[in-house]
Amino acid sequence: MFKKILFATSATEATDHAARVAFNMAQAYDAQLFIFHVLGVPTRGYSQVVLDVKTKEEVVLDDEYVAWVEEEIKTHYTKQLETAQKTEIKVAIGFPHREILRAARELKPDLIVMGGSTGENEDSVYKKSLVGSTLQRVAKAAPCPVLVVNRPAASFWGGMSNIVFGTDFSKASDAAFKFAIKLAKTLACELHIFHALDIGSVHTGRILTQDEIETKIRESLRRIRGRYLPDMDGIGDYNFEVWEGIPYIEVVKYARENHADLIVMAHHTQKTSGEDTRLGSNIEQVIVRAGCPVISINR
Amino acid sequence: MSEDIIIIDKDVSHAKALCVYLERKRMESHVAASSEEALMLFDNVGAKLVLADPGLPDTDMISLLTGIKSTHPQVQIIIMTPPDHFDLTMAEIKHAAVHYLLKPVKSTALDMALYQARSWISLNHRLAATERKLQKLRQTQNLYQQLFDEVPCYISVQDNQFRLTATNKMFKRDFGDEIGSHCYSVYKHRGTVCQACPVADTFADGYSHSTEEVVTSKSGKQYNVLTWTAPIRNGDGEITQVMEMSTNITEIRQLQDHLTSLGLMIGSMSHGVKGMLTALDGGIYQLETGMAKNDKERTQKAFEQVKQMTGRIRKMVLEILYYAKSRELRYESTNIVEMADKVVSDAMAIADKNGVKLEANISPTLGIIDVDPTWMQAALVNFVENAIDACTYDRSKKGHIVTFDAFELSDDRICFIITDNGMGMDQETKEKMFTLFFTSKGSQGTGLGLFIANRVIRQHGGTITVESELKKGTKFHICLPKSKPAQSGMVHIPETLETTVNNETDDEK
Amino acid sequence: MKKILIVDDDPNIIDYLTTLFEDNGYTTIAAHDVQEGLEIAKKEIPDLITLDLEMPEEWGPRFYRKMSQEKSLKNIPVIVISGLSGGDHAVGKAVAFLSKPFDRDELLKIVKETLNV
Repeated sequence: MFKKILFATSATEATDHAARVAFNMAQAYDAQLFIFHVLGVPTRGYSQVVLDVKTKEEVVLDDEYVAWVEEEIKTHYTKQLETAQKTEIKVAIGFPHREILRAARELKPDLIVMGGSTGENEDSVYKKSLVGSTLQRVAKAAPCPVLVVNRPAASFWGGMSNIVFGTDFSKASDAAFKFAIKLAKTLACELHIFHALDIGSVHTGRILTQDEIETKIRESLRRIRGRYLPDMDGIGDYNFEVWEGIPYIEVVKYARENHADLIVMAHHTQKTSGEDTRLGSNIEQVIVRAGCPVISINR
Repeated sequence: MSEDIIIIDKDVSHAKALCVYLERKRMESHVAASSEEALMLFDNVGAKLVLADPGLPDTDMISLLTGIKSTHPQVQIIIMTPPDHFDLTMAEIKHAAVHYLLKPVKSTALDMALYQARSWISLNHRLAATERKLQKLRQTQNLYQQLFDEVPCYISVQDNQFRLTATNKMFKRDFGDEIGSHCYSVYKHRGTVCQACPVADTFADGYSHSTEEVVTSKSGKQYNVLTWTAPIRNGDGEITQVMEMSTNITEIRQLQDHLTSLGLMIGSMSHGVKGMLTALDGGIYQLETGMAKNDKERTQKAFEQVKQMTGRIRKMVLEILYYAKSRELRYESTNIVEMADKVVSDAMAIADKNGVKLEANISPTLGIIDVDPTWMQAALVNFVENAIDACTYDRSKKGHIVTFDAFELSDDRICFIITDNGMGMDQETKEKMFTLFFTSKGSQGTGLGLFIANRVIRQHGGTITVESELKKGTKFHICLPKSKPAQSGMVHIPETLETTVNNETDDEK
Repeated sequence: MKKILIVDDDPNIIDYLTTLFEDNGYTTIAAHDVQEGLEIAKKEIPDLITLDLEMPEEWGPRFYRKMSQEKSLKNIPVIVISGLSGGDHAVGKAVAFLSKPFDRDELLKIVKETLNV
């Protein structure tokens, strides 16, 4: 299923949790792993002067420096590299999201693996409780699924047996569903199809009664059955569930309760309403809060 | 304003002199020299004072004056008379005159006389006014007494020691004439003041208070009443007594209770009804499709089903109607054996359908019994059907049998014994069995059948005893007197409800 | 052919539903109570279950609870058919709730939609 994995990393402790997952997966699926590091943000246009990501000092860019960085990366992952088979370290200079997307176009991986957020500093390219712009932009435009391991808590993972697919019945969700099905079938996993019923009064205009909510839940369950069940041949064990609440919280809770190893959701490319962009869309919040890796599909 | 005075004197000059004097006293004098003139004056002038010399020995003036006094008692007459006629004049006129003056009249004497006359006039005036007021007062008193007595509530007035100082007619009728007794002993047969006494509250704060109470009449009957108290103040505004008015709402409360349990009943029965209606739907569906497919067996079965279901629904509707009104039993001399046979044949269909054997042992010489055949039969069928149901629901064994025995216990008593080897009853069921709405039949039970059957038996003066063991079976002993009992000991349902329902439905025989 | 399990304590209702479903091309199996229902369901794995709520001993929702704990049974769609008012949310994940007496065309429609047949 995964032949090539592109792992975008800062090669610091900050992305170690993502690294763990990336290496695990590469090993489990015998995939070729590209360890991809973006070297720093250029201070001016196309100049060769860069800021080192770690030290924030200006550095003169030359082949020597690049080679040195590669060594640093190798050192950092020494342990993993001992057991890993097909790995390759690649370094690029530029804006992280651009470079990652460029690499993805070139290398054509089946999966991009990223950490969610790293540094604490204001000027770090990754932010903690909001999805960093790098992740946002990569997830939005990536030509393949993007696996995000946002928190260290999301990285303790022994294998894939429980997948939670979160849907909002959109076309984008359908695409994500196809991926989830393929994954579940290939890996013989238990598949959970989950829909969160948004009961926020902003969307419905008022507070719903419990009976109304439960009627809606029943409708949603029927929709799930109608929309997804026909394609479920070959899946041994599955579950449908609809919970009411604030969508991203319900997804995270459901995944936690069911010991999910992975959450699969669609990444929305449409513009969301003003309110949503402030909070971050559902998937972004799920990414940030989930206790397991989250795969975002955008096509 | 000047006061009018009539002067009657033949002596014109004397009269004139008086006029002048009186004018000074701001009085307007009208002079008459003869009786005719006097009469005329009197009619035209509204004078209250008359100053007259009767002019003896002529007697016509005397009679005129006494006449005036008797017809117009408020007119005060002062008599002037020369000394030689004084005694005679006085003897003639006596009390018709208010004062006697000697002629020639001295001014001081005249003043005194006028003063006296005027006092009398004003006193009389006041007296008349007071009498009118008194009259009015008496009328008002009468009116209030009538109201007090005729109002269809109990009214009692208590002082601050809770002693009754006044009671109205209705109160006297139901509680006795208990002036001086304590209200709490008369109303509630207590020895001390009641807990939340509204009378006490009104004494305390001067406001009206309203409560609902249960009071006991002198005959021991209990009534629900709505009580209202009001303060009675004396001239200084202090509360000296409190009036207590109680309206009898016993009938309303009974009606309420009845309606509530009716509502309860309908609510609890609706589930059973829904089950029956669905089963009826099923029967009809199978009938339709059976006929369309020319499936004789299905059609036959479906028809039986529809019959059975409509029968059950009919039974339930009758039960509701029964409960909705109290029914006087219509006794008829009934052949016991015939009735028992009919009970068995009615129940046979259901027994067969559910694979339960129904055996009857009816003694052939049971004779005649005074019963309401409709209800007695329905009650007995109810017991038998319950027995069949107990078997149907019992999964613990096969081979269920219900026996119906009818025999003579004594010359005037017969008994029915209904036995089954069905699921039996636990302690709770046994205890609650005859209570309203208790059913152990889940969706099939209405909770009404046994309650009504029990009532019917009791109304006839009969008895029921039960033996039952869980999972083993049940036995009902029902014994009835052959002749109608003297008293039926029935629970009375308010007349008002009965009359309205009776007017609407009377399709039963 | 799709198999429907009917769970209801009233034999008349079972009779009705059995005839109704079989007339419309489904096979049916029936149970009178929760215990029997579970046994039969585990053995036969029906495609759909109709469930009554109020039954002697255990009630419908208990059946549903136990059913959801069985891997083989938990995803079988359930239609609740009951006379109990207010029962429409007693089994939250039921596909539909119909009150007794029910409209048989509506029931058939829901069954058809649920089974995609």
